[in-house]
Amino acid sequence: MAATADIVQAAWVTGLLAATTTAILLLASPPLSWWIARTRSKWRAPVEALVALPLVLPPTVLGFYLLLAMAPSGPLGAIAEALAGAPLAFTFTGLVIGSIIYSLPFVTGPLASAFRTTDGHLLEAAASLGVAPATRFLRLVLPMHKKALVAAGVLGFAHTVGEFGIVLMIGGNIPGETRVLSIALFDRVEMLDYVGAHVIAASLLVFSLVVLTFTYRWLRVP
Amino acid sequence: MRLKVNGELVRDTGFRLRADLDVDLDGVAALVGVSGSGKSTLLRVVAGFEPDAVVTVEVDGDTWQGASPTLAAHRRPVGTVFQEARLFPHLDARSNLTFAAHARRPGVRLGFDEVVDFLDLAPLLGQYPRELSGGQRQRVALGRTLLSPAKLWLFDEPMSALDSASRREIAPYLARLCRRHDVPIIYVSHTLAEVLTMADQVMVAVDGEVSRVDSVGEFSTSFTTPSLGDEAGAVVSCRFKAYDPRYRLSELVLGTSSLYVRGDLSAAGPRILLHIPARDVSLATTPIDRMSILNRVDGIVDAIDDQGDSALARVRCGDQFLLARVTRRSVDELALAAGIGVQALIKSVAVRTGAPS
Repeated sequence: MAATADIVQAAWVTGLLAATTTAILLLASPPLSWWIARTRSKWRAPVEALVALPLVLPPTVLGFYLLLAMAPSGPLGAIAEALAGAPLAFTFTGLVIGSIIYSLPFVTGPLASAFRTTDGHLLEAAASLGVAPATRFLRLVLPMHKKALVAAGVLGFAHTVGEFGIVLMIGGNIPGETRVLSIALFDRVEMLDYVGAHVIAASLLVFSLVVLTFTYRWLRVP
Repeated sequence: MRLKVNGELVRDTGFRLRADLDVDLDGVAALVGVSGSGKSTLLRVVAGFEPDAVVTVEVDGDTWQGASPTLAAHRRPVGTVFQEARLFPHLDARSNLTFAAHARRPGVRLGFDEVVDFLDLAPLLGQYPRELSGGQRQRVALGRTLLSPAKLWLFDEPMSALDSASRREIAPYLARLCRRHDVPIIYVSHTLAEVLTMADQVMVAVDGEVSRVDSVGEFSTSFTTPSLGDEAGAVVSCRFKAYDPRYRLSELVLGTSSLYVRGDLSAAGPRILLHIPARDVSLATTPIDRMSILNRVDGIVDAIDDQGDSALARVRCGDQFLLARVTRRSVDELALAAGIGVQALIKSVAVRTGAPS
């Protein structure tokens, strides 16, 4: 059953990629979302637009530019060469970077929406007690938006699992390194292996449905 | 603590606050005025929640606002209790109370047990804000502020949701805390009785303008003080003279006369504040020597305010003023007018707790 081993391996890469991406996004997105939700800076709209780009652009467009940037001659690739001695294109790290950009709006957007509902009176009350802004964010804002954080994390994870275009452009198709489930599925169909394709497609479908169902149910629990 | 607030704040709604205050805060300063007169806004400016206002805030020579950079709210050693409790909904009462445990700013911080004891919070500690009544929430909010470091307390009607029994208990406690720790309080109040029983100073906000600071004595006997009605009464400052253990009476000096008050006040300090309701003061134009009312104080009528059904007479006793509620008929029969010498017969006095010590 070499075929199944191949699917398991792709599933492992997919899960690892989604988990890494989600973990990084859950660290980076809250401060960014908070800034977007609260700032009166003129830079808010451009930054928000930049973050939202993956929502409207074909993933292949992003993938194309990322590929150029990650190539040994590109800026990201050059940095990676200098730091790690290897380019980024067609590596797992490159995939993580692409996934972060691609899934960013799915984590940042919902969080910013949730943060906008923060009761400013409570922040004032905390300030009146002598509590600094960073502590207010960690001990007040984040716990009050626990559900939004979980929902954003789930969305980010599920969305990374479902990514295809960017992976196709910058990941190549290296088993155990950059071959994720969506690519493996594409391969099966190309090879006319419809049984294997069904296994992957149905697994992804059921996974997504189950995760979203549980998330939406949990969000409604008071 | 010397507080200077100077400048103007204009809101989109058209509301404007003009402040021109230079006040030596000592004890409890009541901030009074009708709704919309700018009381809460003034507190917000002092606390640091109006960073965009073109206002100078100066405290003991330090500029908090008006110079750049503006001192952020959390760095100002000011504890604010808001009109609404503003408890953190995801934390139980205990965690709300200890929220500021790690706050690093200068100021007095009270002990947890003392605050919990006094505000009777022990039964509430494990409960979440949504499980508490309005009054309970306000008590937790008050405790939370007392547990954060501060050199100045701003109270925006902190007891509006409490029943009158709790108010009567908590108000003197706050006044005592303020004395004991030398942390002045600015206290927004709608209740004249609260002002007269707590405040040492009174600031009046009128149409978004705050500039006048009176002693509570001046305020209590000013005819321009709003809604005096039945609660009208003077707050006078007396000097302690002696305690007579035989009758358990303390002798205090008001003007040229003596006042007798139940209990030993020798430890209450040299100046003792008394609240004397106008309805408990009668006037006589010829001295009455033999009667059961002990407190007969000589004075001179300063002014009469005809209030329709009755009149209020302001009587000067030395550098202090008394108020007497009299009928208009008495005004005519005794020919009461400014400059007439009278004897004020005082039926009841209340020693104010939290009096200067």
